[in-house]
Amino acid sequence: MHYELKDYIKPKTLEEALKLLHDYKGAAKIIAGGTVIHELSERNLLEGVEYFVDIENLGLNYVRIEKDGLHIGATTTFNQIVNNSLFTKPSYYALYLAAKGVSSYQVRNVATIGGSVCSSISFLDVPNALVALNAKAKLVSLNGERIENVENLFLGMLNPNISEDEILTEIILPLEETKTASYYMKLTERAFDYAIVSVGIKVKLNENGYVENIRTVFGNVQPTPYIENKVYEIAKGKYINEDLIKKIMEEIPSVEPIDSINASAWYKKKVLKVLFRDALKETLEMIS
Amino acid sequence: MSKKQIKLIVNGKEEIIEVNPYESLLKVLREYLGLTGAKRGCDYGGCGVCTVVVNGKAVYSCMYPAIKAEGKEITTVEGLYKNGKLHPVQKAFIDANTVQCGYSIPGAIMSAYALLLNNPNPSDEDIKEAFSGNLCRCSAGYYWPEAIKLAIKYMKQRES
Amino acid sequence: MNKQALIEEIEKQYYIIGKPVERIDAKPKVTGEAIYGYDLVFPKMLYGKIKHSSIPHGIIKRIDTSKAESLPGVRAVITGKDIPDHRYGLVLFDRYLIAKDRVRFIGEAVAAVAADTPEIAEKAVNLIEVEYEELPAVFDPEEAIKQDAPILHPDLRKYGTSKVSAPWIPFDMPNLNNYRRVVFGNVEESFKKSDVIVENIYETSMVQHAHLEPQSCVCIYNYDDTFTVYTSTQTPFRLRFELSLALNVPENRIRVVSPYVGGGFGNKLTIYAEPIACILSKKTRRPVKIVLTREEVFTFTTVRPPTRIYVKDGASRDGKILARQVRFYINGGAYSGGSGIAVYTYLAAQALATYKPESVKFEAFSIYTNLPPQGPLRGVGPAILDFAFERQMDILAKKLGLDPIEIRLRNISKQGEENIYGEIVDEDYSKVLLTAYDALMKKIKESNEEPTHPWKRGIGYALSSKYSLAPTASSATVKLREDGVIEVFIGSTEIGMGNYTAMQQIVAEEFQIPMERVSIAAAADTEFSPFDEAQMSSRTTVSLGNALVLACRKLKRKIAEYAANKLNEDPDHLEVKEGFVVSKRNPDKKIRLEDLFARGKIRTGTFLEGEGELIASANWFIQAGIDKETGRIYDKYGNKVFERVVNFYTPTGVASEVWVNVETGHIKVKRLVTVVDAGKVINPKLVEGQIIGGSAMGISIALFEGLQWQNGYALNPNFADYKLIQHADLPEIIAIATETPLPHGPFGARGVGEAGLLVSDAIPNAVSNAIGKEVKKIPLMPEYILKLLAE
Ligand SMILES: Cc1cc2nc3c(=O)[nH]c(=O)nc-3n(C[C@H](O)[C@H](O)[C@H](O)COP(=O)(O)OP(=O)(O)OC[C@H]3O[C@@H](n4cnc5c(N)ncnc54)[C@H](O)[C@@H]3O)c2cc1C
Ligand code: FES
Repeated sequence: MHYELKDYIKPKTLEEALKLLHDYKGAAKIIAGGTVIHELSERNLLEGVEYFVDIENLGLNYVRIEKDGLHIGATTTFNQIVNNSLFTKPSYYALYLAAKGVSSYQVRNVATIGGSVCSSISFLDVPNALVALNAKAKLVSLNGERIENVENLFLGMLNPNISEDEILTEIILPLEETKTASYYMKLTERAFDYAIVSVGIKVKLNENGYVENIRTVFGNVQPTPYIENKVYEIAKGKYINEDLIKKIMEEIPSVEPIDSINASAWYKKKVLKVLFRDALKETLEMIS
Repeated sequence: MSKKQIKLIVNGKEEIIEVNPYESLLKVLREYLGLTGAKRGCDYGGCGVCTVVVNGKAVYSCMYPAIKAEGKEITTVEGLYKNGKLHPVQKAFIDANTVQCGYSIPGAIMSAYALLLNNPNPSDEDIKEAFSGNLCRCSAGYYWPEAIKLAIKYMKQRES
Repeated sequence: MNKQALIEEIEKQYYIIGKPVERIDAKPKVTGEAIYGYDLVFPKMLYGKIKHSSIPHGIIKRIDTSKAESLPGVRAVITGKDIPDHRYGLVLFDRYLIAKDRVRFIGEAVAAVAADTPEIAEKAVNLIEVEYEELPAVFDPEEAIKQDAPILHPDLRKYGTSKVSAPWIPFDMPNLNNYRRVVFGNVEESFKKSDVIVENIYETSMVQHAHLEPQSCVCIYNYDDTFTVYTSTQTPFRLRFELSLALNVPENRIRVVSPYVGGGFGNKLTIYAEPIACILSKKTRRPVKIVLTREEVFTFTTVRPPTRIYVKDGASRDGKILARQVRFYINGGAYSGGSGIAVYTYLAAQALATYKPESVKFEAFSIYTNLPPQGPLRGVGPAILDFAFERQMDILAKKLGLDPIEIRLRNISKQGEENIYGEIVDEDYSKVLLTAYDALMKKIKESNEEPTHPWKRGIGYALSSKYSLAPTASSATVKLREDGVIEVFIGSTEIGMGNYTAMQQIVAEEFQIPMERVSIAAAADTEFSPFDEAQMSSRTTVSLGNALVLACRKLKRKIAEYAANKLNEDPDHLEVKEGFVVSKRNPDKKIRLEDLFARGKIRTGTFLEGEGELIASANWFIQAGIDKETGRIYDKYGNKVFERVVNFYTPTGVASEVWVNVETGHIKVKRLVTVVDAGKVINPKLVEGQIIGGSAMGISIALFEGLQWQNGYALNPNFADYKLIQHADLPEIIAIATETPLPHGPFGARGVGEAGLLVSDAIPNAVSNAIGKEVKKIPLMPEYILKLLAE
């Protein structure tokens, strides 16, 4: 870690942190768990940064149910999510699986949910699961606050739609719903690894067992989380059976995947279908 | 670049040191405090030989800023060996035949120690997850689960 | 007597050989007290950093170091101009320690810096400006031997070579730097007789050793014009030899010391940063430490080279191989890499020793390309060639409707007969294979787990012999200490195999004393340790073990002679054991070893009156070699020119069960049995650890590993993208050591360090068996499997 800084600051309140980001705009960088920051520093991608503002002590470490949804503080770590039984409920299960599937336990202990969204890396698991769950993010700056769908924060690889003086304070998930379940599945080379591709799904059925809503996200298929609308188009209002699954499998992915070092677009296309099928079946099983 | 004075609690002992703003805990342990039990293998979260325990959780010290660790309880492999007595986890790592070149061992021991601290009766799946961030080229950690089981036994013996 | 009783009876012969004693390095390693090269610090120490080439092939036009030199905290900057005009290598002297005029791969050193802190050194390195004139580069061995290919070493024929195993370049072929041929029988004739012919091309990837301790050294230039080099190496003596070439300094002015080594696997058998740190130290007159980053380990050190293997086998209807013809192309990288070009051409061919076709024609071509240099990796290539040979066996078996075990048994080299090289076979190949087979079948029967769609089961075997190289030599010294402890001096490093423990056991056995009464005193210090060639090639147990046994016996005789006066007994009737010298005729006549020392005659200390020291040294050496033209111990007229090609072989048999997901191409190794013939197990825990370790690495190489390059630039030189097996991917591994004594091994022991790697050749067979398609390259990436299935 050879990155040189003028200072590493650990503010105690959100206001203090926002003021620092405002005053040092351009020269200050938020650090949460620091796991992606470290990678950025190793790759010399922190040019111009002179101050780190550590947001660990801002009181953003919480999970609470409110009227409008489930609020997860930005500095909640992956392991705090895994160890909180709320997330094993079908509505949130995708997030639980994504956090639990992270390739290294040591990272799970420090990496934060906020940091994972703000990194804007399309193959990370947690953000893809969040997008599948229709998560929103609250962003605060001295100029005010905004609430965005998580997918709208991704502009491209390492290019988040977040201003340098903004802090993502929390993630908001919809309240638990009935006849709803979610799942996250990733294909990896080794047991614990980054995703070659991944699928996040959330399904809501109506009283009669027909699809009321279905949301599907593919990870590492595009430079940003890819919402596969085809699935909803085909399945909307229908009863999901083998035939329907086959039909969907024929139609997805509706986009040409990007190549990676360990997998070509050809391979990704083939396995995405399988992954989708398996993830969907797991999801449906949880509803019944 | 201005140095900052910070206070760390390492293996139960208070240490006051001056660090650069973005210096890793690993560097501070190894180079300022002479605790070379935590190793460096990659410096970016790829191998786990730098694993230490911070506030009861296993972390990669190579990517953990020293300043972030201020005021927290840090345990390194040296901290487990007290009064000339091996910690049950250390003894278990010997008895389970885990040791070859030994470079991955301090990190793996700290992952094991943290696992048992938080979860005294881990399942096979828990054990796999606990070691998901530790590589070992000599044996790929083949004997680690056995070491966990032995450590549980030794801890029980120690209590009774 | 039943079998168990018989085994116990045999075991009784031994005092401590065969017992699972605890490793002597276990405790320091679990407490963090063990000191590795990476951990060393010295007063006034500076930190060195290397600037590497940024292009794969080119001429250095200009290097500007002025900005780096003026950076505060920088103490020295060196370039190719500052180094002696001497090329180094082990068998071919083809490399400058820092490029002088030309760079040949992107990792190559072009300059270096010493500074007060690692951070300053890194900054300084980035301030060095290098201007290149790019040359066309070549990355594939078969491209590199084409007539119009770029030539990497135009002066190759002028380079110096070693007197022992100098490269052989019998014909003009661009970029060829070593060649080996084996000619046994007449393949043309045999092909004509063959009922089936199977011909295939196989490929293996570039594999990195990925030892977890990166290379690290501290080099000190001393006031008396000598160098002290502390480094993480497998071979202090070889290192000293190469350093002396690179620095153009006599060997006796260099001292190499090696503390605990965090893994090597063949990558720490040559010099990397050591000569650079030496020169920086001489310039600054301060100790200089250089540690490599992980990326440097991937791109600046050696690799197991990518290869392409053409194999054509002809067999009779009953499965006897009549002709085997092989062309082996080694993508050798830019330099000989210490031992690289010698070993891959020369030693890989020893994989041919397992079977005895009627005729063999084998050719190995080591070829320069603009990639990192080749180096040994848990052996030098037999596991590569075995991938091709063992695949051929299965494909032949399938064609002939034979069982894969049966076809192997029909072709093995038989005990007591000559193998294709002409060496007398000591090895029992059928035993290891059948043991592996039985153990796997039993396991499968015991479990009633059946794969369901999309998983398919496959079973695959591999059989081979891991050679141990020769000629080779080890020396050892043992000494009686005044407290009765036997002190051992060896020049071997402890890189993880447990050789210090095994060696201590051998001495304990010879003297019939507990482990605590033996001490490995000064390990791996060229100033004090007797010569040992290297910790490599599964050689230590046999070579060093033999030297130690000889030294112990000499010392026992010396002790007996010294005690003879005191006991008034003929030394021939005296025995040294259990800490005493005892008369065989009269057990009452005895003296404790410590009582041989004079006590209370002077105010302090003890001494051996009239003797000085009771100390003995011994050497063990084995000669070996081939006739170049035939590649055998016989020349073409049938004259025997050597007794052996190698020191010994370690027969190994593997049986594996895999499940393959036919929808995603994923492979799960479900069960694995690895059987290695240890000759005689010195310590079962150590042997098992080696078999398990080799097996794990074998799975990893078969399934995951490949360092990828694009136009000379590494795509995945890190642990996120270069995949090493993790603990969770391991199956249950059954490690079995059989014991067919090696006639010239200590207590009959063979070396077992590398043999387990053969696992990488059983898995491809199992996968082919599962999917009904023939795999021809490793690693078996999921995408490759799906491609095969889609064919
Ligand atoms: C070895 C390793 C393995 C990994 N494996 C996986 C895996 O398998 N799956 C997976 O999904 N991920 C994986 N990750 C990545 C992991 O998801 C991220 O490291 C983590 O989520 C980032 O969180 P952090 O708190 O560490 O972020 P930091 O590094 O602290 O920050 C990341 C970025 O976000 C910004 N930022 C952080 N928090 C906020 C905020 N609240 N508001 C505004 N900006 C903010 C920072 O300025 C920075 O640019 C892995 C990482 C490592 C190092
Ligand atoms: S050194 Fe920290 S993970 Fe490798």
